[in-house]
Amino acid sequence: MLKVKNGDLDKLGLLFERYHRILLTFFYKMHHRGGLSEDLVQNVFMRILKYRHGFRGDGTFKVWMFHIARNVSHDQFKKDGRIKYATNDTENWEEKISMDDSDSDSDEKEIKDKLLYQALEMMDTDKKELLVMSKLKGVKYKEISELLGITEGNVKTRVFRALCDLKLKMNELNVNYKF
Amino acid sequence: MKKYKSGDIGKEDQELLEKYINDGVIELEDIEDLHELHQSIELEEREASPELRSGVYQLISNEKQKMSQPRLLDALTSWMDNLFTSNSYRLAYSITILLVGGFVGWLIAPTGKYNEELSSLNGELREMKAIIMISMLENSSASERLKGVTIGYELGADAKVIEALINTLNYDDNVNVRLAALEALEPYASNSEVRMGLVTSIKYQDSPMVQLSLAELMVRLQDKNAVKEFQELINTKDIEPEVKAGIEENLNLII
Repeated sequence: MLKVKNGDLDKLGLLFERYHRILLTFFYKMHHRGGLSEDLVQNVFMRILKYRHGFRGDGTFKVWMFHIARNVSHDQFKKDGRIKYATNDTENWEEKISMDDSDSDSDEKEIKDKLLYQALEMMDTDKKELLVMSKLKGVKYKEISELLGITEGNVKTRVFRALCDLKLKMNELNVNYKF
Repeated sequence: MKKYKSGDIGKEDQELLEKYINDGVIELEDIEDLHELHQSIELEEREASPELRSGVYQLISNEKQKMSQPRLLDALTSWMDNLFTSNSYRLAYSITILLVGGFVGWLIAPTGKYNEELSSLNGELREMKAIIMISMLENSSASERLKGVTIGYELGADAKVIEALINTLNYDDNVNVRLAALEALEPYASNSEVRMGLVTSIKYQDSPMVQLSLAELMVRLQDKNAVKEFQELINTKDIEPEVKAGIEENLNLII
């Protein structure tokens, strides 16, 4: 990236090749729309180009890039008109969990997965974002700690809390569903 | 841990557990059910479409083109070419010849003030250039004004020159002239008066290009005063969302 900053713009292409997957995966999980995710990635690289002089090189490029990516993601949420905060509305979810072969065992994993993903969507944006980042290939807790400006221990604690919350929501969904 | 597993965990124990995790006494992997949950979250891997790839490469090539456009240094060299053609330079030329003639006259005169005359001549030459620059900045032709900014860039650390450049930055009609003035001022931005002038200039700027360039300069300078000015600007003026995002992005880079 330092080369890019100094004028060797073609190197940005290399950075794109290295990181586009992880960015797309992140945006897709947060915003669910494929075309939009691509726009957001393009937006990230546009900002990287524009503000390349602001990259000071005292941290890693990956963290700087994710800083920009998070901003782009948050801007999109604002645009959509919803910074999502946790919803406790579990009652309506049973309609969304459609079960065709409700009695066969093989669906137990399916049910669990569905519950998991529905519960994930019900979470605070921040918590969800943290969990998603922690699952991105090649992203380490240390990098997340640099990104958020907290200690690595704090990151783990937050992940712990997010997981507890996730479990709670899954149980609520489960209870309601079984009804 | 056992309490947690039995599901019967009170508030203090919860906090204790979090503290252990924070300090690394317990790893997240040790908490089996949560670890399993964490593992079972799967993210769908996405690949870039050809459109995205070509879009990003297009961005890169556009930026490369922008970078190769004539900048101040090139303007300086073309200034040299203009030396014999532009009217204002003819004026400068003739004045210089007059001064040189005067200097020769002083040489011939039997006085011992050689060095004094030389330095005062230098000073006068600079003064002359500054006057020419200021008159060029008032020219109706934007390209003349642009040349004026170039002289200013060369003359630099003169209060009159700086003032003229800042005025140009704030009030010139032409975006390119304003941008050139900003570029000319940048080397002197360590001077606190220049800094102040730049920060105050923020609120006068209407053109998105100048706003963004100013914001970028502020990031390079890490000027915190600029943050407040920019925020006011964002709140009071009608700014396009893209530019606003750009400015805010820069402001975030100022720690």
